This record gives sequence, structure tokens and C-alpha cells, in this order.
Amino acid sequence: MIRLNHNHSEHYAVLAFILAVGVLGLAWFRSDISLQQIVVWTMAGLYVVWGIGHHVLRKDFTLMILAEYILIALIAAGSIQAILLNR
Amino acid sequence: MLQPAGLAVMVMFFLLAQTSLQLLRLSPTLPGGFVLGYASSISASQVLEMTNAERSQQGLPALTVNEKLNQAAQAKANHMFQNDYWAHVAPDGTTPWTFIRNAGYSYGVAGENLARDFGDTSSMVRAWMTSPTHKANIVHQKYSQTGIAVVDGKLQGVETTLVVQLFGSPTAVGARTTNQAARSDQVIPAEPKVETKKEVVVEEQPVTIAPLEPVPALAELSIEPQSGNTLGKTIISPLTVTKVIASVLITLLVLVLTYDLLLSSKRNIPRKVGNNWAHIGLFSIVLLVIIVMAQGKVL
Repeated sequence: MIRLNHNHSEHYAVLAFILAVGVLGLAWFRSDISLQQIVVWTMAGLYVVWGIGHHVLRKDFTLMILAEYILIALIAAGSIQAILLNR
Repeated sequence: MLQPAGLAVMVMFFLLAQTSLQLLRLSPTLPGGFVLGYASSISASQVLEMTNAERSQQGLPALTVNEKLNQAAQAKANHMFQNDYWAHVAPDGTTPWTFIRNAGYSYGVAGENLARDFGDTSSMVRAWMTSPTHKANIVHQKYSQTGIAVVDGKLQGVETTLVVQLFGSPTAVGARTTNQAARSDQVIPAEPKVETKKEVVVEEQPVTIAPLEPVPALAELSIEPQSGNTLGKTIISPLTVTKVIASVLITLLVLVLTYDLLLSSKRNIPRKVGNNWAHIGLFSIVLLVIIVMAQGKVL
């Protein structure tokens, strides 16, 4: 029987990878705002997906937690989006 | 505050602030003489003021504004927007000195500083002063005049405010004749970022120099009106406002999340909420991105 080891450090490694790719994407496409916006919202979407996965694996997922992740992602992506639009 | 309802209020507040900013752009004059700048609050008068403040600290005389150098700076900025490049030398090989000469300015020594994407004048001048080559232009003892252009436009796909500051010293200051033909086409870049032109004695023969034109006061200059260059009014940059709101909001959330994390672990309270560490990590990255992205570039 294969038993998956849902170690939290693995979860955080995945999150760190998502955030690092997002930052690199923003830097890489620094002369193209449209692509930067795609990177920002993709990063926000992946953050929500990560949150769902993290809590499902921890067996404490609720709709309130989903709402929390969506709102946190909205604030984070909205802040960067606002800076991009006002540059 | 960390409950979804509290977070939703924050999202609504942020959306409201951004919508207000966008609406104010349609009617940018605010009560009390405030003006909402298009992209930045940079003004030519502030650039001159801060440049001279830096020179004053070095014990150097203040630069005066020369209308021909202003025209050359404006022409350079327009050329960069029209040809969509960000460099001292244009892709077609046009150098800064071409614009200076075309404006009718006869110089012995000249230099150029460029900046883009800055929200305010002080951070831009600070960036110039941090760069040794740009600082060398600002505090160059041979310069006596300057020309500044602050132009909004779209460069390389990005809406930006472009600042061109040209420095120069006329071929003969206070003299009608000289035995130096000081003008030269030799361009000696000090470093890749800044091209400067050194005074070179070519040959010794009397050269008649036309009398220097009186330097006009800054208010009389014929710089094309720009939204980010409104003299006599306090200009608020939407970028600065957004940066402040976003930074304050996110810093506040990070502090509350940290406090919540410490409190819950200290009292060992079991709760079914999101992962605070993840939220803090995300917001820290966002804060870093906001700070880095809001910075402009110098060349």
C-alpha cells in the first residue's frame, strides 16, 4: 500500500515555489503590463488552490476557509494590479 | 478583522479607493488647489530646485535654466516616445548632442541624465544621486546651465513619465571672443549609463562667439504643458496614493496576522481558520513587489 506523506514542509515548499515563480514572472515581463497582470492573477488563483489543497489534506477544509483564501488572494492581487494600472 | 466579513470590508475599501482615483482622473482638479497628476508628481521646477540643492551642498553654484537646453530635452523626450526607445543614443544613432546642437545651443561640455517610472521628484533625484555617474553630472563643476523636460506618454508598452535633464556650459561664458575652439564632437562616455562630453581644445585661433542670450526665468519657458508638470499647484500622484493605501493595508494585515498567530499559539486555541504563515508569506511578497515595482529607472 502506498501511503502519502502529507508533510507540512512539502506544502510550504509548493507555496514557496508558486510565489517565487510569480515574482520571477513579474520581473521577467516587467515591460508588459498585460502579461504581468496575467502572472498576478494566476499567482492569486494558485494561492487559493494551494489553500484548498492544504486544508483538504489537513482535513479541516470549510467554506469559510475557502472564502478567507479568496479574499486574501483578492487583496494581494488587487494591490499589485492597482500599482500596475497607476504606473 | 481576519474573519471573511472583515476581509471583505477591506476588499470593498480598496475597490472604493481605486474607483475614486479613476473617477478623479476624469476631473483631476480637487478642492484646495490640488491636482491629480496623470502618472507622477514630477515637475521641472522641482527637478531644478533639487538639482541646485545638491549642488549647493557641494559648494557649487546653482544651474540656470536655458531655453535652448529645455527645447533640446523636450526634443529628446519626444524622440524617445516616437521611436519607442530608452537609451542615451537612439537606435538610428542620434546622440543627445544632436538635440542640443539642433536647438542652437553651442556648448563646451554637456551631459544627459534620464529617468522614467518615478512617482515623485525627490525619489528620482535620490536615485540619480545614488548612481555615481548621474551624480557626477548633477555636481559637475563645469556645468552652468540645464534644460529639463518632464513628459507623460507610452514607452515600450508602459504608460510612464519620462524625465530628460540636459546639462551644459556654453562655449564662452561672459566673453565674446576666445582663443579656444572648445566645441568638439568627441563623445566620451564616463560609464555605460551616462554619456558626457569633455571640453577639448582643438586649435588655437580666435573664434567670434555670438553674445549669449539672456537666460529666461523658469516661468517664462515654453515647455509644452504636461499634466505632471503643473506649476504652482500641489500635485498628487495616483501611483503614490495607491502605493500608500496598498502598503498600509497590507502591513496592517501582516501585523494582525502575526499577532493572531502568536496569541493562538500561546494560548493553544484550536481554530478552523486559514494558514496565517501562508497569508503572511503572500503579503510579504506583495509588499516587496509593491516597493520594487513602484521604483523608477535611471539611465
